[in-house]
Amino acid sequence: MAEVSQLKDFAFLLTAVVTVIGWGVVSNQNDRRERRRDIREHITDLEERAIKLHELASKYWLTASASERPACSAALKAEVQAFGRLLRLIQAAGMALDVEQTAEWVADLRSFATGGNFEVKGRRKSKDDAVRVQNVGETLEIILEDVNELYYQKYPVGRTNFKWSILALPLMTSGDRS
Amino acid sequence: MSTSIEVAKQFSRAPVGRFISDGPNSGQRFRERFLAPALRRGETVIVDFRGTRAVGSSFLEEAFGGLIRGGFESSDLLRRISIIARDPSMDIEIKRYLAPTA
Repeated sequence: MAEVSQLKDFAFLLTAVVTVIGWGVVSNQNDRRERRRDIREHITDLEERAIKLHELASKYWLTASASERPACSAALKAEVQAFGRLLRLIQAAGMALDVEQTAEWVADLRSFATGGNFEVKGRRKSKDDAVRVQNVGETLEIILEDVNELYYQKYPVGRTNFKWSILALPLMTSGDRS
Repeated sequence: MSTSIEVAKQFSRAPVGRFISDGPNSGQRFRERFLAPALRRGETVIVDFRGTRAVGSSFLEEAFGGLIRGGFESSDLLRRISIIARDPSMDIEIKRYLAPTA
């Protein structure tokens, strides 16, 4: 009888340990889910900013009048800067973006969007302007493609992890200890 | 000897334009008034962009790329100029202008 009592005590301890481990797993999964949600929101924001940036670049280089250009150029520079900041935020949130690659992307984007005769007084429109805007668009596409690819590598869609549910079995079968 | 140029405090919080004809805060003026004189004195130059608003590539290219067109040696500039900026892409971009054939 003493042996049965010891076994019962041991079973209780095992249940407690499994419960604590289960809490740890659930907590970890919740954190991961939160991080994934945060990163997804930042990427959605990045996609929206990319559209805005491309629109501003098109406006500045292709359609803005001389009087509109100062405000447009300030907005375009600010948008490039904000885009770069958001990429770094996505990195900080846990995405494995290469630091140097990200900086190269932003440098490319800035030089396409605000290089050449950007902010030069009396700038005349030229055929190169359309090429410049196209380069902005293509660079943005490359960046978004790479960022999304990295995201889905880290958080694949549709894969459900059942391996931790095995820990629930001892909890379900621990039953009456009296 | 080393010179530190705090762009926002000593030059402008909002660098704009390429040439002097574009305004008082242009890349050409920054190069002629600040960068080139310090480099001619043989100093190493630290250019600190913290505190400035977003800067355009036309400004950067004229300020730094213009040094190469002005006769400075690329390898010498790369050795003597350091960039401080919150955005690491500024350093990469400026190095491209200082080493145009790289």
